Amino acid sequence: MMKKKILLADDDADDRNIFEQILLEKTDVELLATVENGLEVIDYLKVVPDRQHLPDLIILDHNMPRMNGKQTLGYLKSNERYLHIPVVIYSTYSDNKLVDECTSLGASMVASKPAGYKEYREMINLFLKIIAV
Amino acid sequence: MAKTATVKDHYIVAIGASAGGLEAIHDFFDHMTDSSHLSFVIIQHLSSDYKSLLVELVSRHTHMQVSEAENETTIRKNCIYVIPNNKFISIRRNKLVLEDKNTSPGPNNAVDTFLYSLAMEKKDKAIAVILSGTGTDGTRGIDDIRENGGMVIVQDPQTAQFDGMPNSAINSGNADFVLPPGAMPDEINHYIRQPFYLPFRKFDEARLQEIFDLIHREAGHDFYYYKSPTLIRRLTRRLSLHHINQVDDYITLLKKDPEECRLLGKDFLIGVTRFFRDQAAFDYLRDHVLPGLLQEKENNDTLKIWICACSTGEEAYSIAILVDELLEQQPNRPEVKIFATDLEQASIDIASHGLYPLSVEKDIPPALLEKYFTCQEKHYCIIPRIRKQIVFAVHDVVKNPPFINNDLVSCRNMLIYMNPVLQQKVISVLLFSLRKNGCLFLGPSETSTVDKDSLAELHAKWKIYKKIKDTRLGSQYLAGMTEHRQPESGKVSWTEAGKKPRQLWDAFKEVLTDELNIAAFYIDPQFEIRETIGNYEKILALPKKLLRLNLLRMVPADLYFVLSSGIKKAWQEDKKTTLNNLRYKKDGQLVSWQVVIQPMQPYTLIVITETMAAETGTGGHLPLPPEQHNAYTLQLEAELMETRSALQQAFGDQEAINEELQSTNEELLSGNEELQSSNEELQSLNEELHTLNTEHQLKIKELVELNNDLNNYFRSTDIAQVFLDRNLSIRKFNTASVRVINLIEADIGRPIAHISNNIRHENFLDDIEQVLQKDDMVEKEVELNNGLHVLMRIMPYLTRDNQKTGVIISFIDITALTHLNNIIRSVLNSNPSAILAFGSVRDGQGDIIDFTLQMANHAAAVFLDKSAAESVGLSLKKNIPLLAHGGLFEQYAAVVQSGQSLQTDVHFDSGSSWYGMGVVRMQDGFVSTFTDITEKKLTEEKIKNNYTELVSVKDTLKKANEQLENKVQERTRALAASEERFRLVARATNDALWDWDFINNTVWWGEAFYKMFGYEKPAQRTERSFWLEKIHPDDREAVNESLDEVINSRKNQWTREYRFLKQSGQYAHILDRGYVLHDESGTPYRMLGSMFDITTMKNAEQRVASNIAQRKFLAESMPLIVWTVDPRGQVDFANKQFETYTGRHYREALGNNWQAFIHREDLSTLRERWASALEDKKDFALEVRVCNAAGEYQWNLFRAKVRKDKDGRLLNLVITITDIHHQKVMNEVLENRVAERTKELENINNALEISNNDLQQFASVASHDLQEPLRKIQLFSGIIRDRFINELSETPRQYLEKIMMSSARMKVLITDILSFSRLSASDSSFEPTNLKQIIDETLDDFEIVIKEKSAAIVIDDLPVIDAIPGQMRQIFQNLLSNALKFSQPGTRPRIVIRGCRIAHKSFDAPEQAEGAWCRITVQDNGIGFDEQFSVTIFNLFQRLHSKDKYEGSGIGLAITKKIIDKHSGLITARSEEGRGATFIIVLPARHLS
Repeated sequence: MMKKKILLADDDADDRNIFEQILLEKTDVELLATVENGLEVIDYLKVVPDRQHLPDLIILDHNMPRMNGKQTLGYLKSNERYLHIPVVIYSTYSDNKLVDECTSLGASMVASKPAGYKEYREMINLFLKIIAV
Repeated sequence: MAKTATVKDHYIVAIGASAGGLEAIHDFFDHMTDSSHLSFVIIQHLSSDYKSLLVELVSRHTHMQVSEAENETTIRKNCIYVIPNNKFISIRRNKLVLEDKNTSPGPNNAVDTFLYSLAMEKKDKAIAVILSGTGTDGTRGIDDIRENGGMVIVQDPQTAQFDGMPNSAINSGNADFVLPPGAMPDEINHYIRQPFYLPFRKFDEARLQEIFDLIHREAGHDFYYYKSPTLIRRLTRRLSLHHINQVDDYITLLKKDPEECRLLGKDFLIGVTRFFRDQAAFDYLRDHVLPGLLQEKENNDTLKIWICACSTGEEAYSIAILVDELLEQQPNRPEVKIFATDLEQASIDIASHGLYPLSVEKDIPPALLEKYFTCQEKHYCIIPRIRKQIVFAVHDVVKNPPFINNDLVSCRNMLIYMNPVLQQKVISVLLFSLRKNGCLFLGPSETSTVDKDSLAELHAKWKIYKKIKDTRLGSQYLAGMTEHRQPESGKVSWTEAGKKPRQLWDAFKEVLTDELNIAAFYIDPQFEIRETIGNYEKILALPKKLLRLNLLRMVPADLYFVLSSGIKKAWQEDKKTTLNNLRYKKDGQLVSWQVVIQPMQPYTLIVITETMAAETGTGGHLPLPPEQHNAYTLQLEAELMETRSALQQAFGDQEAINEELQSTNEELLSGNEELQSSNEELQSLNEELHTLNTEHQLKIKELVELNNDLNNYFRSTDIAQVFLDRNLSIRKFNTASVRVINLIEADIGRPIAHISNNIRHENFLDDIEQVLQKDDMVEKEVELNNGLHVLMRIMPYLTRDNQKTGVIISFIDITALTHLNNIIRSVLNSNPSAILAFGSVRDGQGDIIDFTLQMANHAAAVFLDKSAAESVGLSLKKNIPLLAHGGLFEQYAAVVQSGQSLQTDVHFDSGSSWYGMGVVRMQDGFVSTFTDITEKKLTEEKIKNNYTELVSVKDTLKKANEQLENKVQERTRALAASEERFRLVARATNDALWDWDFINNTVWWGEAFYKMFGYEKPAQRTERSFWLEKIHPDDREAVNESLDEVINSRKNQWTREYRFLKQSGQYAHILDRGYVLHDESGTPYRMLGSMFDITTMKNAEQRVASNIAQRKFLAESMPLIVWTVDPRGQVDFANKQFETYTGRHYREALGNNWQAFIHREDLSTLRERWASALEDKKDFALEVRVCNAAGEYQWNLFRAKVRKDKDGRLLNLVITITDIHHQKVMNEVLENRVAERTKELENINNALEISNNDLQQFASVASHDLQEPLRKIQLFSGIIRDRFINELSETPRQYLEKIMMSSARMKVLITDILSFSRLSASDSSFEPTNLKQIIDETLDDFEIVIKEKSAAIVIDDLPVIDAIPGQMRQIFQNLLSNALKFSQPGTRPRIVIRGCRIAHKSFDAPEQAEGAWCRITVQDNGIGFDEQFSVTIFNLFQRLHSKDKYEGSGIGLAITKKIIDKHSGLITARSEEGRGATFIIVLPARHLS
């Protein structure tokens, strides 16, 4: 079975670090790359040669410099090539407004960054459920 | 794909027609509806001797403008141009160019000429239409049109009256369409709308192959190696002709239609040729190539030339002519044999006819044309001598074996259509066909792929080469022939051999064929050679006449029979047969053949080995086997020899006869051709006759009409007319002329002199003679015997070209005129006044400069001292200055100019005479009459004087009389009037009239008196006392006194008002007026009067008076200015207040004067409103400044009310003016203050809003950004706790716990602050919210705590109110959380939530079921708080307990308060320490926006 490919965008190195640690525990998941903002997501995806090498899940922090999570989501969902990839937005603080906006843009899930390591793992497990068969 | 392009281009349609074409042209234009992008040029063969009517005839069939073409006419769209007769027409730079037609009676080729120029000019925008006609004109022209991409339509010969031209055009194969004329316009329109040029598409190679296969199958042509672009261009062209866009569709068509395959193949093989095409190349041939070739030839030699791809033969003939020309200049006379071949049977047919259209004359130098062509009416025909030199044959240079041993091979412009592989192959064939030192002549644009080793270039540009080395046409050629095709069964192919083996094989073959003289052939059952191997040219000879590669005809004649029987035998037995030692003599040498015949399918292989035979001395031709040396054999041999020679003789004879037959046949053919050409001559003659006939018939019709007109005119006219010829014989006369000359019908042709006439004029014949001699016209008035007067006019009879061929005599009856004339003359002459008629003389500008006398009567002659006859024609100024002097001339001129007659008396200086002059305009001139009035003048003077005196006397009398009369009349009138008036008044008036006779002291009362007062009318006059008694006692004395006073004082007017008793007992107010009459002595004797009941008036007066008084009082008593305005807008009343206020008299307000009191700036508005109030009858009010007594303008309220009567008519305006100055000024001050205050508040508000926004922004950002590090603290401290707890000692563990707790608290704090700050920013909307439901949901969140503390929660039914649900949830979350949090330790918390509707916004308001407000109380039994904090607990961060005891940020209640405020509600808390707390909330039930 192919490992699920995940692309993570977060400008916070700590978060990326924790993300990587948690994902390392998983055997059926592969973190394709971590990038620091939305533009880098797009740059990354652009050079992916074919569809089968595109990530299976894209996780976006909302507060990112240059291009935030919501904008990136908008771009991905308006592009034929990436439309099918589930996108998750997570943010330090997420209110109803953000949840509504992102959901209507096509986000598969919107989450707040948890304060505990355990919660972090639970959150990631939730994300991975989206792409579980 | 369907492109419906709009047509932008200009297409020119050339229509060629000759005999019978008129009908077709009409039909064509009848159907040509849309011609906006087209121009038409009609070229018809017209007779040069007659004016063509084509323009008029065509005009009737089209909406377009039709005109005869003129030189240098620019061709415009939507126009038709017709060729003028006797001209050639062509087109250059979009202009028509005309040239004179040479008068040679040759066939007409005007159509060709025009089409050629049209093709050059318009290319694919040229459209040629060939209609009915004889001959072949147009056929060559459409070739040019097609070559340049234009379109060609030919009339369907079945519809054509003469099918010569259409058939010829169709036979040329250049017709795109063959249609009846009516169908042509549609096709043309289709064509110009579907542009010819389709976008150049790349044809699929496979498709192309498929098409080639189809053509190959149907037409036998092989295009596999032809250059694709060329073919595609032609293919595209055919596609567009069929309106097909898809190649597949076309292929389908090709499959269905073999004819289309044939046409496409023909299109592919387009032949373009011309006589002496590239003149310079031919010059070079003539000067440098051919002489060399010819010099080598002896008398009996043959000069062999092969023209490959000769098309229609022009090139073959050109070269033949060149050779012939050269031969004339040299002594040797070799035989010339030219093979001209082409793939196309049709072209070969044309070529072998040797007939070319007349237009070729521009290609051929005139001398050569003269010498080598015979002109046959419509064709040039090559002379038979040259024709006989050329053999035309269908031959495929690719497939068929070449001709050999040629001195010159020409193959021009064929290779360009082929691809390099094929070119190479064809070149090698051509090369092979040349003898050594022979020349190859290619087209100038052929890419040279020639073998430089074997060819030397003679001329680079014209591609002329010389063969310098022998070449062979080896297996390579044969391989090429078959390469692309499936090898047919049984056919040997050499292609299987590999490259190297092939070389070896070639070498072997070369040795075999060269050294051993072996040649092999494949022949078909007809002995036709299909393929050869080896040097067959050494062995075989080319047949002399018939170009068929029959093996038997190519072997030496001696062997013909043997070989033939051998082959037949082999076929019969179907096995290999060998013929040994066949001998024959070749160049004096005995040659022996060994022939092997191997029958195969489908061809038979024949291998011939040639060896030199040893002289055997037997002289026999057959080998003699040694065992047959006996006499019998010899005898048989001899017999056989004899038989053979006899047979050979017979063969020879047979051939001779055959040749004779052939030559006879050719003669017959040429005879036939001649007949055909003479037939065409006849046809063209017939055609011209036909054209002429048509035109003549039209002319005749016109003439007949004209003749009818003339005859009818003659019959109808009163004017007698006689036509005489040159000999003065009668040609024609009309009925009217019989009266004058005694003519009868039979007189026509007789001399006029022989016929008696009724003219009293003996010089009649002389006059006629004179006219005939001198050309003059004679006009005379003559009298007839019967007394009639006629005007005789004799004029020469002129033909159109001004030839005098007789005279016309006409007689016009002028008897009546003469008679009238005589009367007028008599009248004139009998008049004693001088009457003169003058005509105007005008200068260049039309101004009158003089008059000439035209007529004068006898009196005038006396007046002018000249005889009347003499005076006519005199100039007024010069000859009769008398009449021009003294401004008379100018007066005449004025009369002539204006047409107004003039009547005046004139006096001439010369005498004392006076003349009455009358001037009347008469045409351009005038008639004047002069009457002597001298005596009348004198008498008049006298009478005038007397009359003046008389008049003055009369005037005096008259005045006196008038005065008298006036007086009398006045009196009479006065009397009558008075009488009358009285009578009328008495009868008509309602007044009671009375008549008091002083003498009798009686009174007469009119009817009205009794009616008015109700008394009975007595029988007679009443006593005066009757009246006096009825007067009111109070008034009676006064009335009597006043009467006495009037009567006694001799006045005559009396008036009195008094009360008079009516019969009813009431008193009526009476106005009594009387008039006293006096007699002559002045004594009053009678009094007349009338009583008028004014009771009503009196009463009304009184009421009005009281009304007015009342109103006046009102108006005066008011502290307002009051005006009234009449309906005209004029103030008619102003009250006292006005005077008080303005200090002026009220009169100064009346009329329009009031305006002076109004401030100037307000006046115009007021006036407008005033006017519109009058107009619309509407009230108005206006603030205006009015000038007060102190001269200051004060603000006043000016209010106008409209009074209307019951019909809505304006009665008046009532205007009140109130001083509001003080209020107004106060108001302004207040308003200013309010505005200032508002402004201030607004500013503060803005500042607050900004600061509020900033704060919110700050709170939001701060909490966001604060959360991030906080989360990290939590996250990492969590990780430390989870993973490294065991590595830590107790103290750090405690610190870590503290860190985690602090950060957790901080998190709560930040979240709370965030939600607090968010409250103001929230834009959630109000909606009906079920509070019970909200609380139930909230309780779910506290489930654990409630269980833990076993709390009891009681909830009433709560109302549904308009609120923001999320915020309501927040309120109850806070309140319930507090209630649970601050519970008494050890006591079960009990929370009661109640809600009810109340009347108004107050905590203590009474309950009301439908109240607008809603009160909710949340009561708990917790620790409560000191009531002093009941307000401050709602402040931010207000905490009553330490964090250790009760958690909380101190924001919850602040948020609650803020939400309540936002919902326009109230909140308060009531408590006592230790006794629980009650929170009371008041919220509006409906949202207050």
